[in-house]
Amino acid sequence: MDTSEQGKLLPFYVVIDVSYSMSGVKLDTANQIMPAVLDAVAKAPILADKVRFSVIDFSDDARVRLPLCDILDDGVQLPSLTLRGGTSFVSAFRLLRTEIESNVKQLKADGFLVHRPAVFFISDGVPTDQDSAWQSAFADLTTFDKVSRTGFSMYPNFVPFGVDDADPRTLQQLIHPTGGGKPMRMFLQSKDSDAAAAIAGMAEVLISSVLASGESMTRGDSGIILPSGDDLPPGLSSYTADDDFV
Amino acid sequence: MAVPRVALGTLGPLLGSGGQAKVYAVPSVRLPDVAGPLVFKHYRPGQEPPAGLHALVLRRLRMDLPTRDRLDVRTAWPVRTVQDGGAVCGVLMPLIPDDYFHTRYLPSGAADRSLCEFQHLFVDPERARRLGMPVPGRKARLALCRDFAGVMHLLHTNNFVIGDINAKNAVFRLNAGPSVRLVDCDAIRIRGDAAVLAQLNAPDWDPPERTLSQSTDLYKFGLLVLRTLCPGNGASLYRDPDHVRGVLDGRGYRLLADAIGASPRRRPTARDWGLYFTELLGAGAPTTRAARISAPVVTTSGWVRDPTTRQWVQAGSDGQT
Repeated sequence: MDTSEQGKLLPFYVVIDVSYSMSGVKLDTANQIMPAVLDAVAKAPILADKVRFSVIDFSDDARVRLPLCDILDDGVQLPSLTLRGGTSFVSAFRLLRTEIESNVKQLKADGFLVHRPAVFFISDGVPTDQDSAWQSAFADLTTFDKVSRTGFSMYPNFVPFGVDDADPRTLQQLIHPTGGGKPMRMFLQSKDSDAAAAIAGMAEVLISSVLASGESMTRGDSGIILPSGDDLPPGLSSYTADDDFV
Repeated sequence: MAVPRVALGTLGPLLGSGGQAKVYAVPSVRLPDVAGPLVFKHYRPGQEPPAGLHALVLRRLRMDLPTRDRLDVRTAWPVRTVQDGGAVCGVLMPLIPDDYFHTRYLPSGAADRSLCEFQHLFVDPERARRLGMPVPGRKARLALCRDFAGVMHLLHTNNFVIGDINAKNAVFRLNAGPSVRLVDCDAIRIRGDAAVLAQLNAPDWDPPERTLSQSTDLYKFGLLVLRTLCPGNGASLYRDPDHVRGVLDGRGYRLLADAIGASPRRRPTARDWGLYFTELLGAGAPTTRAARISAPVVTTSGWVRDPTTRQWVQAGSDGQT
């Protein structure tokens, strides 16, 4: 029995591409993600004792648009996303690392236990960085050696979502972890779907993960639970790190 | 006492959906022994309970009428099993009455009809009010705890083990006098029998003992009392009886400390709790802590964000109701 009253929080980072290609209905739909999450938590309000949310957008640079917070808190203002520039994965990964590091330290200093953070990463294009550059930044974010204790110990579970021109083989490299007890997955816009429906589907996947994770979280669990294939919303397909896109 | 699936006719609207089952209205079906409309809980493939659900149905039908009536008012009991191809595929249960639901606006401004689950009582009252949910004061909370003790007394004296008491399996209403109704009763077990559905502990409701019994019901009820009477951020995780100092008197504190203590034999019975709450409500002694939650029962039409100022405004104040 766990008699501790110390909450164990699961931080969710919603990272959204705001390059110019995301214009129109895609951006409009992306702007509806967090209001939908807020409604879902308002319907299950004790989840606020278990989850925290942050929104980061990225283009040529990355910006924290919603600092990690209890989304039901009175002072929360949900951000409105606007477009700018290219698609730098490097900027997103670097900012994620610094944010996760400082947020987790802060939560622990405040007396909370913290589950491994979850990143939902939404993009509609290929990175404008050199491959070696974003791969290196991603490795800095996700690599940790338990034996030598080198790398980033607070590395997140990373769940990429791709729409439109996103390259499945690029995004597939962002699934983390790819093995172990709870491998993550990637979600892509289905061939017969449009990008707006797929982004709306992503909000559903995020919400269902938040709800399921809140239901199941007990100490020692890694926290995040992704919906099974049968429960996927329309417009999305799910892939593992081993699926082939040739 | 099984109903064939085909006899349900055309199903009504889908009322709810979870990992275990989907719940539909069945407007064309009435039963002579059930006062109101019914719903059909259709288990998902692979989630059907093993044979044994009949026993819960039969227990109800064999009760004397006054007891059965009390059961029907206070629980969503499985009143018939539903069979498809010779196997149980679901159950019929009484429809949860309207006054256990609350209509409000969600933060996005969308209208929503929510079941008044106990989880809403654990939330900081200011927050619950802002989210458009009912916010009972101390007296109504005590009355809900007393009513829950009454439901548990009814079930325990009829040899049932509730099992999975949690933040969502009990709902409340305030208008007809504060009262409680247990939902998801198909996981209730007959004392001395194996469980029909695996009896589980919800996260943050696990008792000291591994096997669920009437004693673990009493433990979980202690947590429910603690979290209902001491709402606030983090209250859904509370385990420390010290939180009720200032909310309950010394006797109440000791009852709670025994209820959520490690020794099953020391836990107060549902009757002990019922007598205590009745006395307390009769005396109505105010306390320091009560000031924080003693607001009268208030329901708001909900809050929405003003799209221009991004400030929270009461729905309706700008013509949005």
